[in-house]
Amino acid sequence: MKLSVQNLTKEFGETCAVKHVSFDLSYGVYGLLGPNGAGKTTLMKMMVDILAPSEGKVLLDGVNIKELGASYRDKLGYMPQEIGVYKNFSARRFLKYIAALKGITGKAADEKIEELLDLVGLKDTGKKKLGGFSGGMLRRIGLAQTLLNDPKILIFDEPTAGLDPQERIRFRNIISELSENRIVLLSTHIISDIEFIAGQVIIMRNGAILTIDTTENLLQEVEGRVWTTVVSHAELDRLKKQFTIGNIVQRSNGVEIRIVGDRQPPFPCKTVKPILEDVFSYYFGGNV
Amino acid sequence: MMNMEMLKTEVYKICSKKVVWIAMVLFLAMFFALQFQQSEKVGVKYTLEPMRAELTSAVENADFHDFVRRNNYACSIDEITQYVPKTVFAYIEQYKNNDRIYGSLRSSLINTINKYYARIDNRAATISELAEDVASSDGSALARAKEKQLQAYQSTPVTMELNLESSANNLIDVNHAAVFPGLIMLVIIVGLAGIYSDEYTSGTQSALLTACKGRRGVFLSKLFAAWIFITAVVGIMELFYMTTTAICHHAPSTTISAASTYGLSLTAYGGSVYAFCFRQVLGTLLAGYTLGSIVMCISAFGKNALIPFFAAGLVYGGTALYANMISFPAYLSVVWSLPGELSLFMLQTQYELVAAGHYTNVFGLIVPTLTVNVIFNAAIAVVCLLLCYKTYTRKQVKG
Repeated sequence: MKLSVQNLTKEFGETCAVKHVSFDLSYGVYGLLGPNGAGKTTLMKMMVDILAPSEGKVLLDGVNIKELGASYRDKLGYMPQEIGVYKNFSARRFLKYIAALKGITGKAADEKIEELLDLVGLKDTGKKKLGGFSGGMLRRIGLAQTLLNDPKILIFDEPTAGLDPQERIRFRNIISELSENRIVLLSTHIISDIEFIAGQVIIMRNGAILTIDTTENLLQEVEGRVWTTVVSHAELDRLKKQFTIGNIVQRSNGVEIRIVGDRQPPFPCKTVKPILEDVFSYYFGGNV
Repeated sequence: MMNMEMLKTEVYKICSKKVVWIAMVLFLAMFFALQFQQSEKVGVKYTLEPMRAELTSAVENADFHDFVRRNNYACSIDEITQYVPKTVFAYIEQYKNNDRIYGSLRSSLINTINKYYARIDNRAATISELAEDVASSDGSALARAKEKQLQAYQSTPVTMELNLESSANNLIDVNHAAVFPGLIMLVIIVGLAGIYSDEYTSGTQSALLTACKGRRGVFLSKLFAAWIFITAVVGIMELFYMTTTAICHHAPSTTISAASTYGLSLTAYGGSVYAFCFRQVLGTLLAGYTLGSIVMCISAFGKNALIPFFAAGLVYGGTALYANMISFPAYLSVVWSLPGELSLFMLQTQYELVAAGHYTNVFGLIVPTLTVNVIFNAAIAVVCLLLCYKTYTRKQVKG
């Protein structure tokens, strides 16, 4: 199965939110990385056909998704950034409705709902009204509703936003387990979400794709370009203006900083093995 | 495209809004309170209905008719004693010790007789005048409208009967007095205003639009759910209205013709009061479906329920107010009377359109205005639903 994005563009008036984006996705997990306003959500909305592109198209195995219509949506699971629910519905009633929208009814729907509530750890809250759910619980309901039709294409828009570390790990593990024989596209600000599970990373900025590559190749790109050193607070302010500072950690003898750049700083520092966060800093600069 | 679970859930979404049921209960309670107040009135509790057979026999006397006519339909009770059976007076005399009941029954007797003959003669005179106008027809639209009305009078025999109780008129007035028909429409608007726009406020739009049943399935399930809701609201409220009125005003023990009620003496409609009320209920149902279509169409465009609520309310309320304010021209509609004559309120009440001849010149064809109203509002419903469908199936989630 191949999902192809070809020259996808979206303009809102004079603003071009997505600029001539093209890439192909096949089985595996793809991370979509970019700062706020990069165009990730707009791109995803066009890929799930809830936003019409100004130009370009999305093809599944060579056929335009607009022509595929229901057969594309049958294979699709989309989890938006904001999980919308009916607050007066119980979790089960809501999932039963979404299942019906996905063409699953009766006993099959009930069984699938129980399976998914168990998967996301909400088995005992099936009768509880969604209005009383915490943010984390709603995200889990969002994941359950995304998986109801056993989709082959999963598109997650910042699925772990607002979750605590334990819940983020749980989410990551579920997505990782699901990724076999599926296309999974996952957008996030939280680099650790994709660091461990994404085979390839798509980096976006200002509506355009900066690079698409495997995690290993991206890390290779910044190999030898990441250094750490300990400085004083007074020096830190000066260095922020001169270099791209990644991580800042308070130590007993000062502040340990992580510098990312093309040239080695002209003061004593140690070269370290890069992590994906360094790739983000390298491409987007600024102080993360 | 759609399944029962989707339909059930859409009905649940509408019916789980507490404000709908609170509004309905409040309105029905208000109606009950007003009607209950009426039920204790002397004129409502004590009527001449037990004397219907005797009075019907009495008014068939041609001499009695002549007498009342010669006295200009203003006879006193003492003047008619020679024509009215003694049993009737004996019935009234039993209440002699209660001035209010006694006075009410005597007043009811003389008013009923005078008005009965006045309505018969007025109707005959109107038909006669129409026949003269038609005989000297100039072929104009107005002349052709009069001709149609004359044909309607001649082809539909109408029996004028004594109107001895307030219940007959009150049953018709349930869908004629402006407030109560409007309250049914208000409940419909409240229930449906957010049918599409609520998906935005709850953030569920993406889930609905990316599901395989898709936009068409969602549209159909919302449409059928709306129809179920409208039918239920009209059914419950009309049944309550009619039942309460029948109980409080003592349902007519005999089914008199609609033409026998006050205000409908010139109608060409030959059916009974109950049949006319049934037509009004059907009219209210069609008006409900039409207004529901308008609300759904506006809701599909918007992101909150307020705009469809106020817009639909304005459409209904504005045209209902207009219909109640203007005096309709005789026989043939004119441009300025059409907004009232084709209003949803007029479809509910049908009173003015049926009370006397009402026709509309539709590209040279003279058509009963009620028929034009039904077709016009049905067309509005279809157009709104098509627009709603087009809008929703092209929906994009931008924000």
